Amino acid sequence: MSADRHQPFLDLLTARMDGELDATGVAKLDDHLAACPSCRAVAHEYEVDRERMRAIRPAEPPRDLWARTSAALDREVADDRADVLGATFGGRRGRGQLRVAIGSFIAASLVLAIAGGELVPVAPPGLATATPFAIAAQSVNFVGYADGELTLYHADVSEVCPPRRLDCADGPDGEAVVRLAGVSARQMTMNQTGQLLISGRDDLGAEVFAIVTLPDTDPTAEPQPDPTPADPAATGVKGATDDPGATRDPPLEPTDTPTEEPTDGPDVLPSVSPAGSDEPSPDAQITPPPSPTVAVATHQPILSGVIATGAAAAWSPDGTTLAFSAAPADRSLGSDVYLWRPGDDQAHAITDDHASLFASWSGDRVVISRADASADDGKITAETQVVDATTGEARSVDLDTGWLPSVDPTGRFVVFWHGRLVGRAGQVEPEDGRLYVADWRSLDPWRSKRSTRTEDGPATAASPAADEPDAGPTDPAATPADEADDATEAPASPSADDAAASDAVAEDGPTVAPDEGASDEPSEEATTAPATSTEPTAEDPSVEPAAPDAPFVLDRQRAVSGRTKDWVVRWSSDGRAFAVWTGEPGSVGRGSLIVRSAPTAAAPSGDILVDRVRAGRSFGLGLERIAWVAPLDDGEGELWLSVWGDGGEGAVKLRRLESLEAIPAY
Amino acid sequence: MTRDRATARAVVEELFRLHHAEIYAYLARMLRDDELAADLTQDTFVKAYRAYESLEDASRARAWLYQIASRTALDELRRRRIVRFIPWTGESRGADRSAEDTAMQGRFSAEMERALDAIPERQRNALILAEIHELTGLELASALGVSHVAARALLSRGRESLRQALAVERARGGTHGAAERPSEHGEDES
Repeated sequence: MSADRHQPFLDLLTARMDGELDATGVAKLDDHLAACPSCRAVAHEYEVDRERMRAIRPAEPPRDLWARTSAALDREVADDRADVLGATFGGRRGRGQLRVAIGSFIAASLVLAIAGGELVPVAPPGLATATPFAIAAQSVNFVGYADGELTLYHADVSEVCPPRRLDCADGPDGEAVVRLAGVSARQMTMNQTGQLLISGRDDLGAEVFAIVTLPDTDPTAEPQPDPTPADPAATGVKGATDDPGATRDPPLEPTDTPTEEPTDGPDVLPSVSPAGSDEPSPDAQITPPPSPTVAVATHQPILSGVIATGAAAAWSPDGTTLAFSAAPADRSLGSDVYLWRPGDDQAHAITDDHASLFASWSGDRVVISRADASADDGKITAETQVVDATTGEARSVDLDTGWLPSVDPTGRFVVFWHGRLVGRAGQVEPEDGRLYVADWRSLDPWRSKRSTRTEDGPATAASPAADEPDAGPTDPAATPADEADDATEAPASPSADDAAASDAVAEDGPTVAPDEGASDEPSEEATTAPATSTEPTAEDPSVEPAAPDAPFVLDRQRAVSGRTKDWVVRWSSDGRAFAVWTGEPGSVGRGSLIVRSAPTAAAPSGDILVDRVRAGRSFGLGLERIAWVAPLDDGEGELWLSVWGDGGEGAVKLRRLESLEAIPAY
Repeated sequence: MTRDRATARAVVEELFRLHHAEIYAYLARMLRDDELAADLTQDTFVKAYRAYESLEDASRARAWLYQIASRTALDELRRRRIVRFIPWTGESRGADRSAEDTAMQGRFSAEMERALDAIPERQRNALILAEIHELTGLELASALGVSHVAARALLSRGRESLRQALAVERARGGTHGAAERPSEHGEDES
């Protein structure tokens, strides 16, 4: 049948299918069909095609879609506020055009909020604030700027408001404990013994990495009875026993600032055994108020004339060694990775290639990312190695072009960024990509026999879908059709039968290659496709024991963020939760934060523990709690604490802060 | 935040509750990239907030949202020139279907995907909006941002283009003829 000749008929047919054909038209069409067998066949095909299209089940939106949309709307609202403040009354948009039927929308919205519908919208202004409820007492320490100086605060929290309601009455303000003189920080990281690494500037404005040993004036120094279930690790970690947080409260990881590179690292305060995490902090003891005298701490420079690179500095899980990467402040050379241990005068470099970035710790080994721009085609590729700091031996990770992987402290999972790297002003920068979570046990080159990989051997990775970086690695949409066809055949999860073959697979190399097919799943439970992973055997004696409830093996990497080029990932010290902060495009240090559980069979991308909130880059993740700074329009911020788990679920505002920067909490 | 903007925010939140799933599904179908669809769904509602004043009739909010989503999707497609084939993800999650059903569905949908990919974007857009999201008449025209007549023409051409593209796909597969389709697919004539 010629479409041209039959076009009038086709139009009639379409109109009838859509119920837009009047009686005259129907009669005309029927006459045509009666005389035209091929037209009847076409009509039949149209109906079949329609049914086939309708039979395809719709994709389900990711669970965090509202959270991310809400955060984006918040930014719009904030922009509007700025417009209103900065412009004459009336704003930049026309007004008065819509007055019809809005009331019904509002009413519906309010009903929803009251009825607890799934959307849980933020209540429009003017509604009553949420009612706080009691939770197990939490002891929180944090650092903020006050009067131009860094000050360590302490606060006790005993009640929060229900989640997603950020109109809660203020919580405790916190008391100043220690002032940190002589240095301004962009990044801070603390270990179990109260040693705080600061990277920032000294009094003279020079870039410096310095250690501040907090004095024993910490008001939390009073030993507290620990009513939590026996937890030897928790009660014995901190030798000085000067921090009830060691025994009573889930530590929150100190964080860095908006000006720093993406960060990573395990919790730094008293490491609590995984068993301890079962009890977040159901402690009823309230820490005594701080001494009215605010002590002053001084700093010890350990590296000068450099600026931080790579992920944020992090203490090893056992708290004995600090790792970070830095480059000369004048950028005369590239970045190298440094270690420092208490007692050392200076940090010492463990790389000398001027192209290494600290990514995270994997047990007592250091995970390093390097970028290689030497390819003839100009592509920048990434390589990840795990380095034994004692012997210097480095083993490559089959992570394809994964960047700055953050290994969880229990060694089960890793979150890494995969996307397009670009060279800019002599530096390699992430351009566009996503964060993925994958099974680290199948990747750790020190874990299995495949670790015979040579020191300098490039990651040969390459699962069938090991995507070509130039195929639009950051842009799934740009993947050529023929490559993407592979993505339609995402392998099923490795079955138990695959376990026996895991080593063999591992020796073949690639176990995880972030594939853009990942994008065919919502971020919440995004599967990435083709890349398969091994099913690591749990018997390898060289491996740190997994968390007690960790039989689950993540079969393939899962996307855990939308597109981003600015991010921070942190794991809780028990590896049960990780927080992902992603920067807001065009903004420095502002973005959104979400906390997920470690992957489980039921939630391979992790359950959302704290829904997306607007946050500055600084945040501290502890056991079943997180502290973050909510940016305010005036450039200041509010420190918030969110808790989850058996101890209660909710959030509370602690203190207004003069800056979004340098607010680690723990 | 002014009262108007507070209202806009509340309206958009309500629209999100009512329509985000279908908007997301639509974008996922257009782009065949779930994560990108999520990003663009977010963009759609942010744009809705910005363009709140252009919603002149609340009863047409759904079509208005589709119009925003449609423009967003077409802009993205033009920008990225998506040409690859990604499964329409729903089908891979059918835990309650038999393996045979799943295999059949997968084959059919893959064929449908390729056929849809082969037709012009605007026609595909019209087809998806009309056939799957059941926009009709003025709603469809509004979502497509064209006149009613133009929308009907797009849809008409789209159906024919799809039919021919499917024929090409079947010819490539070399196993099925158009006349056999209904019985092969187990789909009765509707």
